Amino acid sequence: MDYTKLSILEVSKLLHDGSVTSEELTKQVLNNIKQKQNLHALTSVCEEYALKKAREVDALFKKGEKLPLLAGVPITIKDNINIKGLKTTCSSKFLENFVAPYSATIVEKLEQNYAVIVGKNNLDEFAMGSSTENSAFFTTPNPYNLEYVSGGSSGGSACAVAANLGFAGVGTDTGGSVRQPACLCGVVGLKPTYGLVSRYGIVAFASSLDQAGPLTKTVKDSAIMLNALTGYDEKEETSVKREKEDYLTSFSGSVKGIKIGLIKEIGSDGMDVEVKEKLESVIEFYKNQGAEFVELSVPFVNNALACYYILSSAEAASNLARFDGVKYGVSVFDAKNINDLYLKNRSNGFGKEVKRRIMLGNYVLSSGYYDAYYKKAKKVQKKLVEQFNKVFESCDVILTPTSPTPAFKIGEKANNPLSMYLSDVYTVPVNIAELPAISVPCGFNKMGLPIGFQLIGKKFSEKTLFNVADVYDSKNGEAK
Amino acid sequence: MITEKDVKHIASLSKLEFNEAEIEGFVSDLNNIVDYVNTLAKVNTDDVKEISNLTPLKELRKDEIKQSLSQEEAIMNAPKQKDGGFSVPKVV
Repeated sequence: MDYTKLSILEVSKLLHDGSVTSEELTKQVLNNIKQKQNLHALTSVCEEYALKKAREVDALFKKGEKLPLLAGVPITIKDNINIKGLKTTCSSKFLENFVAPYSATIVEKLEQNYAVIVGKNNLDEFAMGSSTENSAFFTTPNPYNLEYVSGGSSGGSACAVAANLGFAGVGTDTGGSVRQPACLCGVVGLKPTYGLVSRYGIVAFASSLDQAGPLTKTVKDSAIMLNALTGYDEKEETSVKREKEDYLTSFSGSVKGIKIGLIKEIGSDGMDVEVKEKLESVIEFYKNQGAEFVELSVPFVNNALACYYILSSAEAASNLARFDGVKYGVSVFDAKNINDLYLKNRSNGFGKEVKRRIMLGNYVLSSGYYDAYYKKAKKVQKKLVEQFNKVFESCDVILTPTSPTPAFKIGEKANNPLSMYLSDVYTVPVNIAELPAISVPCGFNKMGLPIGFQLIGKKFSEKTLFNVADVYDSKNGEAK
Repeated sequence: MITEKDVKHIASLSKLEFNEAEIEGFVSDLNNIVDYVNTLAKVNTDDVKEISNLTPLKELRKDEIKQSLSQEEAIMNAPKQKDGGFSVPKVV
């Protein structure tokens, strides 16, 4: 039997009652990965490492130990997250030989839950992009149509989950990099509240916005993954100290009395007709389930993208300043002097989009422009937060599309950075305001490409998000 | 308006080097992006006095010696090593 199409919740039962071993499951997933190499969802596969872990878990099951839900479940990890002893490439030429000397906190947490990591997912280089076309290695196509993109930057993770190359993926979301690819590949993607999941051991893009989150087949699986990922980390300065919640207690199965907000500024420009239709059917569904709808005004969402490109590029330029090819990375050996070494290593190692962000970042931070750009963007960020706080006084969650369009063709936006950036227009406000949000699949367009919607919550309201999302996910058959 | 001269200046700040065609590309790309982000100039933010992190940083940890990477692990990825350290072209 092929177990790889099941959800984590389903397969976990089989692992626990002994119907299947983790080794068998892991072999099936590894086999899928071999069969579907044309998807380029992974930058590396750690077969031996995975099989060793799987056998260890099987031994524990055999001894009759009580193990967590994730025990023995094969998953994949985005290749900007460190696993000790394995490569972390960030899909960059610069790091193609980099072996992580330590593991990210979230990897340690997943291993404490006995999850079996089978490989690392392709991404846009350093997580900068919305299509994985910026990967220095290869583009991950959409599993539903290979001529289309999988989204990005966690496109490899989304594609892997959709194609059953692992029961879940872990991505990172700085401006939509978990939610947008999840939407384009027809899976569930969660961006947790900033500070809920430790960033220690994840290669930084924009530290004040980065947050890791799970990509899964179902909303309940997302809750299982979040249970494993969260927890205070003293090694991480922005990790929030708060009691650990059990997200599996989120599900009441009802949205009666829940107030869902619709932002009136979202919807007019650039939204695909079929995306709009699907969104309307989602609204209809929730109305029938007893949810109330309120119209809200958040005018500053229209400024969020501009704000995002200033703040994220400024932080990226600063974070990537440490890449000099001295401590790690690819280096030339014929440099005339230290400056020449830096110039050559960085110019050879970084791809086009990464250079573009570094250039934009250093421009907005440079003398004479700092006040007009960086400082202004920080102020607009504060205004946006105030507006979100205000509208959350009158609603529990906000509903938007995740992406203005379904997946676009490979190459279609590659030469127009601004139009590529616009595919994140609904997801970036969430990062700017440090909020949690989840993308849920809601069917397909006429071409057979997935469409998704996004639910945004107040800070630390992941439980509400899970419940509202699950009511649609488990009751609506269309998206399956 | 970002000029070729500006692009060269930012490139040197960024420790990146480009050929002429790439510089031309950056002039047009950066101008397009900057035109777009300039929409922020119209937003009234007079009432926001201070800028800071949204989430305040937590208290500093105690300055205690704890186990960290070994010297071997710390330099294992360095392309050029000498005597257990990082090796670079002569600086002084």
